[in-house]
Amino acid sequence: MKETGTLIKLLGYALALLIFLVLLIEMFSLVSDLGRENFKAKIANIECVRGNGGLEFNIEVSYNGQRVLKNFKVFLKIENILKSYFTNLEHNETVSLTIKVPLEYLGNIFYENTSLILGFEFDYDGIIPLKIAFSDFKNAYGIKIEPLKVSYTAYDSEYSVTMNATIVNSLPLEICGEVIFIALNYFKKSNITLMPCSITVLNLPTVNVPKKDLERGVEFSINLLVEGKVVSSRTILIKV
Amino acid sequence: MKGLGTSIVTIIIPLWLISSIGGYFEKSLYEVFKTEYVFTVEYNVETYFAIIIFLSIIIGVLEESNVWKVLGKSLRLALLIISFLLIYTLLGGGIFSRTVIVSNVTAEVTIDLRLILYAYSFLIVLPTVIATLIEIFSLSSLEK
Repeated sequence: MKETGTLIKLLGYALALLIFLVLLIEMFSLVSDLGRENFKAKIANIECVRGNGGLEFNIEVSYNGQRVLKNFKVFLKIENILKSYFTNLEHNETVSLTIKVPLEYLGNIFYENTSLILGFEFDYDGIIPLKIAFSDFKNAYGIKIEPLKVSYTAYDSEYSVTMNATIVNSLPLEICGEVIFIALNYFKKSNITLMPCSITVLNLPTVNVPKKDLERGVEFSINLLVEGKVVSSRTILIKV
Repeated sequence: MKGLGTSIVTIIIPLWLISSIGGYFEKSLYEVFKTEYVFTVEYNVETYFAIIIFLSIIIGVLEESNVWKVLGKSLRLALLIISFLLIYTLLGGGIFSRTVIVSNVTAEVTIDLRLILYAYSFLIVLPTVIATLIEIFSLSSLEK
């Protein structure tokens, strides 16, 4: 009886030791892969699909290590989990995945500030499950104010400065808001409607700036407000 | 001495190994992502080691006595089960999740090390419990 107990114990300990050793080796390998940046996931392109299409994220994932990443998944999480699957990612393999965010979720992300999480998860060598989730990557999509060009007309002691800018709406939503333009003592507030997946040219006023101020540099600021909240902002320093 | 040895093999070494793997993972994340986030190791295993060694010595003394042998073995069994539950709680069920900041983007890295806890429970705790129960039953039948 006693010998049976000892045998069970020894067998268990030996197997446990084996598993600990395997896990330790896998952990070393995993950390080394992380250190060499062998896993990469980047947003290659964001496509705005008009109508009820939503937003399409084209994500490029690659692995340059020596192991196998089993059950590799790239996921976007908004309220409910949306997943895009890919089975295994082998050595030196690059795969492009497309994940679509439906229109109904985009409204919540934009107006209610719901967080959007992008991540990937896999079983390292089929043994250690690892998940990396990125949040706050709103700079990659949404609404951006882009300056186009600045034109000057010189007079005796001042310049007439006209700035051209556009608002890029990369969301398939029609957005109504207000544009606030501030430069020196100029303040202009105007209503704007941004069409889905479109670029809107802004009509900004010409500003008369004293020569000495322009030599020091003058800040031109454009803010886009939707429902009282600043959704995009851009400040450009203009100098001659 | 035999009781102390069993406690070292079944509780202290696995706890040290598991906490070392967890600590190694945290340290590696800090180095790999070069984040300024400071990781705090929440478990102070040395205190538990000291308590377990102290209790194991007392239980070991009881096991040496012919009168208190069965009680000593039962207490060792209880210590093993309590230690397992303690390890399980300390390691948050075997899932390590830490937040890092990479290029101003917040990322949450989660590693699932439940396999270690399964290995510990099924290959160390369970066989030890079975072996100790066999010893207790054989001792009880000898006394009768």
